[in-house]
This record gives sequence, structure tokens and C-alpha cells, in this order.
Amino acid sequence: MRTMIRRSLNLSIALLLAVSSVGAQGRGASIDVTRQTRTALAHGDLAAARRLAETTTADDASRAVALALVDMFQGKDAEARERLTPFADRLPLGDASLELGLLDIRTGRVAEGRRRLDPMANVRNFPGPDDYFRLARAATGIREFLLANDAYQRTADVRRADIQTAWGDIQLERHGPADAVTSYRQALQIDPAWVPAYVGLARALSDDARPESKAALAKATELAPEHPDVALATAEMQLEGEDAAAASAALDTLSRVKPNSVEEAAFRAAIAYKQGGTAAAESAVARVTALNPSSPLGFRLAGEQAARQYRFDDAAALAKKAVAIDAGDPLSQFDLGLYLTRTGDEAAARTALLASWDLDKSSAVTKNLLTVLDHLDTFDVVPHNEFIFKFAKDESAVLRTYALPLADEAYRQFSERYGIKPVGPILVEVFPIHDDFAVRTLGLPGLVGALGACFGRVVSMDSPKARPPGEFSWQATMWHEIGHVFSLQASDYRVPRWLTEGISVYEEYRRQPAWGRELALEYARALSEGKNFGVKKLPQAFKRPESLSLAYFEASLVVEDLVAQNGEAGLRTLLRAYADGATDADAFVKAFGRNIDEVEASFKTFVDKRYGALAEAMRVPKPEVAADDVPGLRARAQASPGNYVSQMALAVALLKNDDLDGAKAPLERAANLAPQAQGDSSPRALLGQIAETQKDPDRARREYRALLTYDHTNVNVARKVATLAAAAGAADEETAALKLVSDLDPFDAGVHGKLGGRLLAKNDAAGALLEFQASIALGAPNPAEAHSDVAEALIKLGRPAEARREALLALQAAPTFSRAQDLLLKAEGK
Amino acid sequence: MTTVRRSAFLLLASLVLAVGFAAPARAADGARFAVLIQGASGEEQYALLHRRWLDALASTLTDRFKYDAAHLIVLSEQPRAGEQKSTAENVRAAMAQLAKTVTASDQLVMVFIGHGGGEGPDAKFNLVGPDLTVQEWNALLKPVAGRLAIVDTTSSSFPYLAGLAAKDRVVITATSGYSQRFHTQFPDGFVRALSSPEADLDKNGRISLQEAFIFASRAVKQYYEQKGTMATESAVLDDTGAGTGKDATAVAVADVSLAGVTYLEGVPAPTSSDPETQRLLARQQALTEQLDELRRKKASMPADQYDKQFEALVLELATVSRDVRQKTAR
Repeated sequence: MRTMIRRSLNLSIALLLAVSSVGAQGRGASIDVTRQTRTALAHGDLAAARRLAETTTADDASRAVALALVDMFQGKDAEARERLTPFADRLPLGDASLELGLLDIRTGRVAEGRRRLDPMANVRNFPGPDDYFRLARAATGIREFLLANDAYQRTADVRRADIQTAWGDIQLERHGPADAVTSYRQALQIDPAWVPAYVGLARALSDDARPESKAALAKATELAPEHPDVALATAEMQLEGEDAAAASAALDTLSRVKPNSVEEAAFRAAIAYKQGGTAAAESAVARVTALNPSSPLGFRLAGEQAARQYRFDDAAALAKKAVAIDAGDPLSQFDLGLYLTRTGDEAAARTALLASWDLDKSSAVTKNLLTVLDHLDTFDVVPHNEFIFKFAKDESAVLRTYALPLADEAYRQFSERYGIKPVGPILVEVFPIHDDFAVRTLGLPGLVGALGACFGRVVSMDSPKARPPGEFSWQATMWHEIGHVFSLQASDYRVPRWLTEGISVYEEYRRQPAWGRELALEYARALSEGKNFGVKKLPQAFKRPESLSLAYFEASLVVEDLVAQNGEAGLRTLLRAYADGATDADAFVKAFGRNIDEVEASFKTFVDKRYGALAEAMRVPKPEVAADDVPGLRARAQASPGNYVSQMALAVALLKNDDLDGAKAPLERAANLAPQAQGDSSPRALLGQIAETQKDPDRARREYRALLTYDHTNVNVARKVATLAAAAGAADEETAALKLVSDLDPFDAGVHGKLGGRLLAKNDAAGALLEFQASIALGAPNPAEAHSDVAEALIKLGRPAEARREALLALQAAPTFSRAQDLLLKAEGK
Repeated sequence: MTTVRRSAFLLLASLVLAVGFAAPARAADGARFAVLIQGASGEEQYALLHRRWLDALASTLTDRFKYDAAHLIVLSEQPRAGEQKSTAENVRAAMAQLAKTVTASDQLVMVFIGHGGGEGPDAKFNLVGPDLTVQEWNALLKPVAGRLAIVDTTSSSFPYLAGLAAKDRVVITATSGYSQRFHTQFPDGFVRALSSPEADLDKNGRISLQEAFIFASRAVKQYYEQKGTMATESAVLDDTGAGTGKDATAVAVADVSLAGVTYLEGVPAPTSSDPETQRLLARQQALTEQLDELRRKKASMPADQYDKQFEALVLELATVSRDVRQKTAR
């Protein structure tokens, strides 16, 4: 491992200001021609750049640099080297030396490059922004990113598109897309025709803002269709969009305008992986190695493609080869660490990530991942059948009680349904802090909408404590993610995203009819406006954040229809078709002998039948009536009794006027039209609240119970139903409500005790024991009662010795507790 | 080195035991007095809430715990019949009266409901009109004989813990730091605790102040957890006079402490006219006391020895208690 000498810009600036400026050679025309040439190239105007370089009146060194820039733009590296060498040798701290050093490093002459760039990174004389820029570029070349960043910081306010774009480039490469976007946008404010800034913007936005990303690339293409950076970015975007042919075409353009670039060869290796796997990628990397034997880029990009296809074992193997070529490349080490986390090999991942961190302490993502691995070291590791669970220590006792049987059930059902025993063990990591889950998943905090993630045999997810109780069902999340393990592996990781998500949401629904159907009303509304996607447009819908939730929902409906049409075996056949290399266009034909149009037609019939009436009910009513115009709302509601929106608008207006009785009828109509409505402002919730206000607990309970049929994460209403049912002596209802509360908020110790009591009353001693033990694990509110509960369940299960121990624990807290005394005597056989 | 360390430990253990045995905690066996003060509410929503807590507490004391009406003083923001306005002047008058009537074997419980503010010596429980400082409260409490228990359920109540702590006195404050200045949930849990069988942790049929404190602290914790927000209060209790306080997680139910034997409810010891039953009741009482004694010694005993003695006593107590229940059909 190379030891890096850490240099700081802050050091010795004052001392060195007195040193004569050897870096700032040639002002005026010299700098102008270099910048003018760079500007022309950034505008994609090669002819102008060449003309400027050839006709300049600046000194020979500057002219050589300008001409070399033109050469390198066209891939004529040898010519550039020839032009630059004499001036670089003569002025080792000048621009020619900088460009030659960077060229050397880019083309595999690392030692020579470092020899030229190292002294430049030691310069601390900064009469102007060009001097900072020179230092930043030299530092970047020798991988001293903190120093480079320091230098760019000093030029943050400089109105130079070249500087701001270069800063954006290193920010983007170091996993800082948000900062990069700021830099690129600043560059474009300075020069709206600066093509590399558009290219950078397109890359930086590609994950989170695809439309803007596409727009930026389109603008770059419009400005400079022949710019090599544009061709390269186009290839990159097309590959991300899974269009290998378009990516190849873009690389052909790149090859024409800038032959023999390492980047082109590396992207061809990535395409080769997509088309032929690791062997094909390795063959393609040979060309990268021929161009630059020390470049790990071919293996890195092939690994990136493998990861994109969820083949993390392949990705890690390719990253290892990248590291073997250049162990000093922090990005290769990072890639390796990242992919290894996704294979579940966290020990090896840590080694690689530490190596990356040693090489580059500017990467927040590397640091984040290492921190999460440290957190994971404190977790309880629970091997169980085909799984390895990792739970936070203070959650472990409770979560394992529920998670292990649930995972077993999922494994059993999915194995049968998909006909595979997935490669394991399946690692399931449950994080009480959402940002730890986000970092484990993507390396960065945030990921606000996500609850779980699956990498094939590694699942990471939020624990119930990661969000306020009632925000989600952690059990549905676990079920969903384990579903991914099966669909991914059954398709040899070739299942498209729309299908794997559709299968997982559908599997949620199969397990519990309320799971996975939370967006029924939103979907019906979209359907009424013709804004649903259909089978053909689903893959694109998954690429737009704004349509993602409805895309999940509709994908699950597609899967439901596929199963209805083709049986459970149909999904297996479809996944196998993808495993055999089918695309979306031909998968249905291969699996079912039906083309996509036929599947689309079938789906439309299915959706109309299932959601047609609801869509009608959700249609935006006419005429538009003011929210406080009760007579108008009443007239509209009467005229359209089948319209949910009209009924609800009237009900809400009446409630605002305290007309509780009047609101009941429209609420009841709305509830019948859309029983799936959820939340505290849904018709059932409002009817329940009215009943409570009017002291009608039976009606309130009935309404809330109906609400919970669909609103399965509404923990507050579940608590209410439990209380109301207990008061009414409705034991089964109370049990069901308590069960829901404990599912949603398993850390509510009191609920476990009550639920255990209900189960014990129904002679389910084994079930009761689990609940009682969970209650104790959480620090039961009343230890004497809790241990007595356990003792009683154990006696019923014929385990007197354990029962005796529990009775004694109860008596430690409450020596005069008659129930515990009797249990002790019973356990003693007295 | 090992020997020295062990000796030091033994010395420390024996000191702890000496202190423990010097002042065994016992329930007060005289009359029971209570002062409930609802301070200035500031807003309508708080006025309603505070009044509800005050009413619930007053009816628990009179209806459930059978407090003598003459022993219950209620000072409120909007006084009703039999109540007085919660002004500093009325507080002084009430305390002066209690100083004359409460004897050494009696027990006085004071509960503050409302808002608090300020820090350290400037901390105030907000009365109607001018407030009293912690020192002024202390001066008013000083002449009152008997066991005192003060439960300050308000925001910014923390300074009252150190300010009012004294020997043979239980002080509970709803907050445990100067930064805890927001309206508290603690009183809700405290009021519920006094009539909730779930709060009876040692299952002796009575709720001690310690049990009410633990119940209310748990209720507060659950309130914030279920709301999904950071807790802005955490209650503390002091019954040693040190004024340092401990939270509910540091209070062991099995420990025999002053707060653990301070009850708002008075229950006479059961007796029977049947000699055999009376003999069993006496044995039950003796065994219970032996168990209490043993539990006090637990920290200084080898675990296996403790377990052996505990199991023998508790098994006999279980048998005797069953016999008592059979005899008395309880």
C-alpha cells in the first residue's frame, strides 16, 4: 500500500508567499490562449480551438499547451506528449508539465506523472485563481483529494466555468452528487454553453432526478454532438437505462471523435459483462489494459454493471481484479468493499473499505459504511435455519420472537411457490436507526421513503423502532424483502425491477390482504384520470421517483393477473424465461405464448373489473363546489350517490358545522363506495369518532374494526379497538386488536402481557408463553405479574421446573403475591 | 493487592448495612393528611386538564382511600365549595394549620399540579398571584412533624428535589434537569397509578409512592414513544434526604425503602376471632417480616445462601397464605 504524504493548503502559505512564482509562468496572452482554447473545446468547437492554438502570438510553451489540449481532445495523446515534453522539462512547475503529468497518469505512466505532479502539489504561491486551479489539478492527479478540495474551496467564488466544473467532477467522483450539482450549476451560470458542466450535471442527477439528468444531457448533445464527453456520458446513461445497443452506438461515436480512449474500452467491458458475463468482460478488459496497463477502470466498470444487475459476487470478483491492478486506487477498494457488504461478507468488506479510507479520507460514503459496520459489530447475531439475523441488542429478544417464525414461513411458502432453495445463508439486518439502514443500503443517510432493501441474499431493513409506531408494518417489509431473495435468485438475477417489486408486493397481499394494498384509492383515482401505466409502461414508471409508489402497486396487480391467468407455476415460468435471457419484450411469449399486447389486454380487463367501480367513485366530481357551500355540496352528493369525493366533501362540511348526525349518511355512503379508505380522515375513522363523541362505544368499535381491515398500520385505532373490546367483553376482538398492536409496535410491553393473557384464556399456552416472554424481555411493567404469567403458561405446558423458577422470580418482586404463591405450590406439586 | 481490595469492599458493605439497619423503613401508622394544590394554568386547555387531575386525585383520596375530609386541603385556581384559592397567602395559612395538627406519627402528602418555571433558587411553582421560592416552601414545611411526601408534578420542578429533600421525607419531581421546561405528562400517570392495580408491583394490594412513581414514569416514557417524539421530561425520586434523586429505572421494587412503604392508603392489619386463623395470620405476618429482613440483607449475602433462605421462607409463606385464604375464603 502506498503511503500518502498528506499536504495541507493551510500550511506555510505565509512563508511561501515570498518565494518567487515559478508556477505562474506566462501571464497575459499565454494564459489567455490556454483558457481560450479550453473554452472553445468546452463549447465543442474543435475548429475554433485549433485555430486559436495555431494562430496565437503567445510564447512557445503556451502555444504548445494549447495545441496539446486540442490533440488530447481528439485522442492524439502521443502527439500531445511530444509537444509538451520539452517545455515540461524546461519549466517543471508550468502548465506544460501539469498537462503532461496528468496525461502520463491517464495513460499508465504513473511514476513519470507523479514525478511531474508531486512538486506542483507542493507549490504554495497563489497570485491568482489559475495557481489554485493548477494545484487542485495536480493534487487530483496524485490522489490527494483533500488538498485538491482545499484548493478548489479557495476558488469557490471565482467566475470560471472550467474551475467550477473540475471541482464538480472530483465531488461527483467522491460520491458527493449534491455538491457536484451546485458546482456544475455555478459553472453554467458563468457560461451557459459549457458542455462538460452539462455532462457532469447529467451524471450527478441521474440517480435522483432522471428527467433533469436527461434534459442536461440533451442540452449538451444539442450544443456539442461530437464532444467526446457527451458521447461517453450518453454511453453511460444508456447502459444505466439497460440499452446496451444504444450505449455501443454512443461508444462508436466516441471512438470516432476520440479514438483509443481508456474510458471507451472500459465501457465496452461493462457492456460485455451485460451481454456475456464475467468471461466476456475479462476479454474486453484486455483492450483497456493494452491502452493503459495500470488502469483498473475496465474491471471497475464491469463490476459496476454486475452490481447493477444484482450480481454482487461477480461484482466483488471484478472489483478484486481492479484492486489487483491498482491497489492504491481508493475507488477500486471502495467498490470492492461495497460489493462485499452486499454479498454479506462484512469482514472482507471492512478490510477493503479500510484500505479505501486509508487512501482517501475525503469520502463520506466510505466513512459512513465503516461506521455502520462498527454499529453492526454491536448487534446480536442470530443464526436460524437458512437465515442469519442481526438485531440491535436491546431489540433482539423481542424481534427474534416474531421475525424468526415469520422468516421461516416466508421461506417455506416461497420455496414451494418458486421451486428454488436460494443460495444462502440469507443475512437479515434490522436497524433501529433509519439512517444506519440507509447507509448500509446506499452508503448515505436519507433514503426517506425506503423501509427495506434486498441484495439477493442480504436484506437490510428498518426495525419498528426506526419510525414512529404505526408508520409501517415491519413484518410486511420483511416478507416483501424475503420475496425479493426468491424472485432474484429464481431468475438468476435477471428479473426486471417492475416484476420483482410486483411479485414482492403481491406476496405481501397474499400473506395478508391489507398488506400491499395501501394505495388502492390513489390508484383508483389515477385510473379514473387515465394516469395508470399498464404493462408496457411499468418499467419506465419505476425509473421516475414521482410515479414509484403507484408503479409498485400496479406491478403487483399485473402479477396478480398473471397468476390468475397462468397459475402459480406461471410466475416460475416467467422468472425462468428471464433467467434464460428473455427481455421484457419476449418474456411473456417465452413463458406463456402470449405477446405483451395480449398480456396488456388481459390486464386491462382485470383492472377494470377489480377497480373500475372504485375508479368511478374516485372521479373528480362536477360541478366544482366551494368547501363550505353545504347546500351546493348536498345537491351534488345527492346527484352523484356513487361518487366518493362528493360524499366526503359533504360529510366534512357538515362535521365542520358540528352536524354529526347529518354527516353520518354521506360517510356511510363513502365507506361503502371505498371501504379501502385509510387514515384518520377516512369515512370509517370519522364514523368511529362520531360514535365516540355520541357515547356509542359499540358503533365506534364496529367502525374502527372495519377501518382496520384495510388500514393495517393504524396502531392508534388498534389500541382503541382493544380498549373498547375489553370494555365490552368481546374477547376475540380484543385479542385480534392486541395482536395487531403487538405486530406494529412490538416494543409495547403492556400489550404482550395482555395478549398473552388472552391466548392463555383460549388455552394457547405456547402462544401465550411467547408473548409473556416478550413482555419480560421488554422490561414488563409489572415483573411479578409477568413472571407469574410465564409460570402459569409453563405449568400448562407441563414444564414445572421452569415454572417454579418463574414463580420464585415473581415472589422476589412481590413475596405476598397470592397468585405467584399458588403457582409456586403448584409447581412444587403441593 | 487483591486482599486489600476485598477488605475495602467488606468495610464498605458493612457500612451500608449499618446505615440500612439504623433506620429501617416502616409505614407511617398515624393519621393521613393531604394538601393538593392546583396552581395558575395560564391557558384554558391547561385549566381543564389540571382541574381534571385535581378532581381525580381528590376523589381518589376521599372515596377510595377514605381520607378524613378535615385532613384534605385543596387549593385551586378556581376554588369550589370547600376549596381555597391557590395563593401564597392561603398556602401559608394551610401550612400553619398543619404545623399545629400533624403529629410525628402522621403522614402528610402534598401534590403540586400546574406549571413551574425558573432555575435553582429562583425555581417557582406557579401559584395564583405571587409565587413562593423553594426556600420559602422549605420554611413552611419545616414545622410540620410526621412523614412528609411532596410530589411536584410540574414543568421545571427539578430544583424542588434538592430544595425540599430531608430525612424521613419523600420528594418526587416530574423533571430531572433544568432544561425540562415543557408541560408535563407525569401527573396524568401519577393520578392513574393510585387507582390502577397494575401499579401494585409487589402485589400487596396497596400502591406505595414508589410504585406510583414507577408507574407514572413508565406512562410518561410510553407517551413519548408512542407519539414518536423525544421525551421532554423524566421524573426523579429522593427518599434518603440526599436530594440527588433517582429515576424509575434505578428504583428496585424489591428494595425496602422509605418511598416503598409510604402509602396514601391506610389498611389495618387483618385479625380474626378464630384462634387458628389468628395463629396463621400471625405466622404470615412474621414470615413477611422475615422476608423483608432477608431482602434487606441480600446485597451482603452469598447468592446461593440468600436463594436457599428465600426459597424456604417464601415456600412456607405461600403455604400459610393459602391456609389463611382457605380459612377466610379470601
